[in-house]
Order: sequence, then C-alpha cells, then structure tokens
Amino acid sequence: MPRRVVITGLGAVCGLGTSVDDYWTALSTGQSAIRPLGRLGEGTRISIGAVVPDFNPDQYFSSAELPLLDRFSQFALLSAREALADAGLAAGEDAVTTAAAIIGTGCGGKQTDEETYARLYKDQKTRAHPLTIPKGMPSAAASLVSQHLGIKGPVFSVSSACASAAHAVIQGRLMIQSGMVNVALVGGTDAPFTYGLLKAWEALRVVSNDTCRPFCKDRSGMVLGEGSGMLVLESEQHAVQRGTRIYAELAGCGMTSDAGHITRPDVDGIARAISNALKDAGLAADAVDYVNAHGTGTPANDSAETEALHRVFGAHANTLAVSSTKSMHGHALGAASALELIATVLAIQNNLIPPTANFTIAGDGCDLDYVPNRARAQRIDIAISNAFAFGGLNTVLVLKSLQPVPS
Amino acid sequence: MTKIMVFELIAREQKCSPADLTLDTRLEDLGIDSLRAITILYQLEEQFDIEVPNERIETIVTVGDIVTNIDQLRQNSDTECHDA
Repeated sequence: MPRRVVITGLGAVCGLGTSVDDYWTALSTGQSAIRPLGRLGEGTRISIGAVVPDFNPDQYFSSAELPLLDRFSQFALLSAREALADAGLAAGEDAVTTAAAIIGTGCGGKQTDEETYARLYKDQKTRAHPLTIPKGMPSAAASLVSQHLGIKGPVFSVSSACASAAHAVIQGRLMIQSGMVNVALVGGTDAPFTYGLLKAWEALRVVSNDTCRPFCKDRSGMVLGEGSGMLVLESEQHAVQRGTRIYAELAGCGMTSDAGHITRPDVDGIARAISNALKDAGLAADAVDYVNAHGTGTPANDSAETEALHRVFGAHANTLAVSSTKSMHGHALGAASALELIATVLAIQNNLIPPTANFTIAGDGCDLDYVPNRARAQRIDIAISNAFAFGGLNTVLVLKSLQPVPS
Repeated sequence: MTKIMVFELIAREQKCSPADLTLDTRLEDLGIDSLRAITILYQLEEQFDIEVPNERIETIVTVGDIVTNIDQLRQNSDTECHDA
C-alpha cells in the first residue's frame, strides 16, 4: 500500500496578487485580473493579459540576488517561500534539507534569453551577457529555489507546456509514495510577457482580445497570465507526526498522452486521464463534486473537455460543478495547473466553489453547470483539477477533503 | 585611467569604496567567484571594446591582474588599429 500524500502548504503569485490570501479573496469573489497590457503588448496584436500587479522585485530580493533571477525565478522563489512558511517549515530543518523540489515551467527564463537575443540580432552586439545561461535555463527556477531555501534532495524542473506544474506535482507525489522523500515542494512558474513570446502566441491565433470566457458561446480564445503556484506535499504520517495543518489529501493522479495532434485536444486522451486519476484514487466517478477545468476559453478545448466529462461521468456529469479559474488568473502556462490545484484545495478547505468569471451564455457543446460568475457555497468531498497541454499531454489530479462529514 | 575605471566598476559591483581596493587585492577575498569575475570582465570588454581570451581569464587572481590584462589588450588593439 503506497503512502498517503497530503497537502500542507500553499504559495501563489499571479495576476490576482502576491499571496494565497490575495488569490483566494479574488477567486471567491469572482474578480478577474485580466487587464489591458499597455506598453507590454506594444508591437503585438495581443492587448490583454493577467500580469502580476505592481510587482517590484526590489521589495522581495536583495541587489546581490537579483542579477541571477529571471522574472520566472522571482515568482517561483516568492511562492516557494510562502508555501514553506505556510507549512510551518523553515530553511535549515531536516524536513526541508532532505525534501525534493520539482518545479514545472513551460517557457523557462524567456526574459533573459530574449534580452540577449535582442542584443545580438537586433543591436548587432557581439557579446552575450555571461549570466544568460544560468539565469535563463529552464531549470534555473528549480535550482534557485533549492539554493535559497536549502532544499538538498532531488531537485529538477519538469516541462510539459500547460501541464508542467501538474506533472511536477505528480512526480513529487510518486517520490513520497515510494518513500524516497517525506516532503516535496512542487508547482510551476512562468513569465511569458516578453515581446518574442507574445509574437509567437499571436501567430498561433488562439489569444483573445476580448477577455477569457470559458465555455461561453462568445468565447474568443485564451488570455495569457503569469506567476507561480507552489504546494508542499508530505506523507500523511510525516504531517501528522509534526502536527501541522493538512489542507487535503492528494488522492489520485492520472496522466495520458494523445499521441495525436500537436495542438488539438483529444476527447479520448482527456477522458482516459480522468478515468486513470479516479482509478488511482480508488473512487467511483459519482464521488466527484467539483471539477476545476482546464477551461482555456478556446473553441477547441472547452467543447472537448465537456465531451470528455460526459464520457467519464455519464449522468453524473449533469450534477457536477465545473469552473475555470483561468477566467480570473489567465493562462499562466507552466504555472497554471499549480495555481488551479491551489484554487481546488482552497475550494475544498472553504467548501466554496470559485466561479467561471466573464460568463455570458453557454456555447455549443458546453452544457454543464459552469458555476457562472458567482462563487457557490457547497460541501466538497472530492474534486479534480484538469490540465491538458499542447502536445497532447494530459494530467488530472484528485483531491479528497479530510474534513469530517457533517452528521 | 584603466586602473580608475576597473576600481570604480569593482567598487560599484561590490558596494564598497574604490579606496578599499589595491592592485594586490585578491578577487577571492572580495567574494568574487569565477562567475562574478567573468561578469565584471564582460562589462570591461564592452566598455573598452576588447576581447579577453579564455586562457587569460584563468590567470586573473587580483584586481591588478585585471588592470594589467585590460591595458595590454587595449594596447594590442591600438597597435592593430594603427597597423591597419
């Protein structure tokens, strides 16, 4: 019997704020962080996004630390610090020293890379900055989190586009289940508001200039976000022994690949991931109360995800609450599935389902209860969090409430 | 001239006064590791439009070594310009 894995710490930075408190306050009241990009979007046809508001790195890092910290590493460090503190863990103690840190990223240190490329290609300079590699490498965030927090166990980054963080969470859970580690800091980070990356997203023609309206008839695409989400996973035994607060059990995980189209979602791949996750958790489909959807707001995703939910849940699909919090924090790519898992944890903790914001009327093929615009108070025993990445890489995480069932 | 610019750059990087530095000050004693040293050299390369070869970097131990190398490379570069 593998060891049970629980969640004991949370950290979040995104367009909705720089702490979990900010994040939940906004989610539970249906506020969206999507705003005009202003100068960030200059020269592109992308005009809106969910940018971390008033983010001043000097407030969080010393001038000696900053030269090595790309924006994606800054976000990772900030949320990692918050998650560890939230779990009642401090640098230097055994539980941290021996922990794993697995951090997803879809993009890596793009700001650093692009600054160097602009110097070389555009400004015709002949030298790259010597910190370009250590600052921009996709594993920089994982290494810097390890260095700053004294995490000396298995540390690496995971990259699977929009499912990066969920794959990192699953990797951490497997390590704990196997007995390799007792504690794992897991999550994701991305900072995609760079000129080159915005132009690349623009070229894919999937980004909306209206807003993010998942599952709606007038949805016009995804809206980019940025930030980082981190969670402290722990074996239940370890958490109980040190008497820390437990948010929920990470009861199951499912992973599949479509082995199909590079960008088009596949109903079968999604449905198999959900089924695998429920099987891993030992749960029947009708045990699920809430689905935190991948819900990007693209025409292709939302109908495919809805169809997959029908396929797995059958008649129970009509009683599920399904919401996409991307309508509020945007699509933070490699950080998205960590931020959404945190939203799901907090939904269980508070028995409150965050809504799908910006909701108008349901689109064709979107016929579920999407919790439009207003949070809903509802007891949640079991919830799942979906992430389906470009490249056909699907992940589903199952959370189980540990609150006593009311009599 | 080179000495003043090198001292000022290192002092700025180290958040100290140029008066705290001598030609014999060891980079290691200032807490400057190899990564920071090449970052300092990168700025000097930009400033003086010179190229410090890798084999020279390995011989740089003190602040004075940086000054000497930059001076030599600037002279070489001037000579090359005159030759041309």
